[in-house]
Amino acid sequence: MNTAKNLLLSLALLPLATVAQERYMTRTGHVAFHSETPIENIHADNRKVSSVWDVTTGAVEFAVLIKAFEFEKALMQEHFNENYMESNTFPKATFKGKVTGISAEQVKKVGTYDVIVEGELTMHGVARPMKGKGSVVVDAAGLVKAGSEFTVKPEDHGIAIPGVVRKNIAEQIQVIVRMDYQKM
Amino acid sequence: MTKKTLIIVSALTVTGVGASIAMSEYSRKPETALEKTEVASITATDLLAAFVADEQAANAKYVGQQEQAIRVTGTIRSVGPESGGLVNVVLETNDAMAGIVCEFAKADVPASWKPGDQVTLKGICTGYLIDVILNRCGSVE
Repeated sequence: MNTAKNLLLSLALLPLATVAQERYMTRTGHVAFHSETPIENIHADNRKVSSVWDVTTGAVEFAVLIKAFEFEKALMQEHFNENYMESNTFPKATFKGKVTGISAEQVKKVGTYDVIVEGELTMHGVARPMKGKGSVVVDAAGLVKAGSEFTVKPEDHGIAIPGVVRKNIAEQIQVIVRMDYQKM
Repeated sequence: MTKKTLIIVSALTVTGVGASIAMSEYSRKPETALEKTEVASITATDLLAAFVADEQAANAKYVGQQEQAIRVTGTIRSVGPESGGLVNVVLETNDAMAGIVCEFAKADVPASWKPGDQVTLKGICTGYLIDVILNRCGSVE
């Protein structure tokens, strides 16, 4: 069963009869992570993130394929998938939470809004609470661009970093989220 | 050349070659799908159907334990727009809500490609969310 699809569709396809709910969606969201140490910098991008945001309730969900993260160097990508994320066993990461600080009415108005994103991030099979600041930019064309940055500690998700490379990988990995939502 | 000099030169040569190999491996770029031998050939419609029917089995066959390329034939639903130097070509399936999303480097998308065209491409299958995702794609024509 595709739990990531179910997760997203459960939000996307909720009956519209109850309240005039407004939902926004992207299938090409961008999530990047960045690790910076004196020894080396590691960066990866995934531009195939699916997300649904119900601006009426604030509920938001993301699903990410771990193997869709692209690295500059093949060796980093192989270690990421095989040694750390174990992506054959845990092929997806998901986030389920809520965006606060912006109303459904504001999403229709041009402006930049500071928001808080709070919820549960499941990665490497381990769910942990996550809270971060973000922003939503609504432009004159009605495009809704949402972004957030937060940090993740690999050990919090049961990801063991061998001592021999511990100094190559930051204690706190920076995660950058950029979503260009379209109204459903 | 004395025996001592020979040993030193040999040791330096071995060290240099080793360092060169290590640096080459460290700097190695991820292969594109066109650089890999495909492990399967399938239509876009059948690929989505395989993931819908049994995601675990489809992951085992098309995503694989190690990164691998597959060949996919289908009809283009949409091309682009470009973002971050990449372009998504989406192939039609029997499900209007789902497609095969094929990520190309912008320079690798044939200029003639447009919606409705029948195309064949190779991509590295990374799995299934709402769509089936192929990365580092290339045209096979």
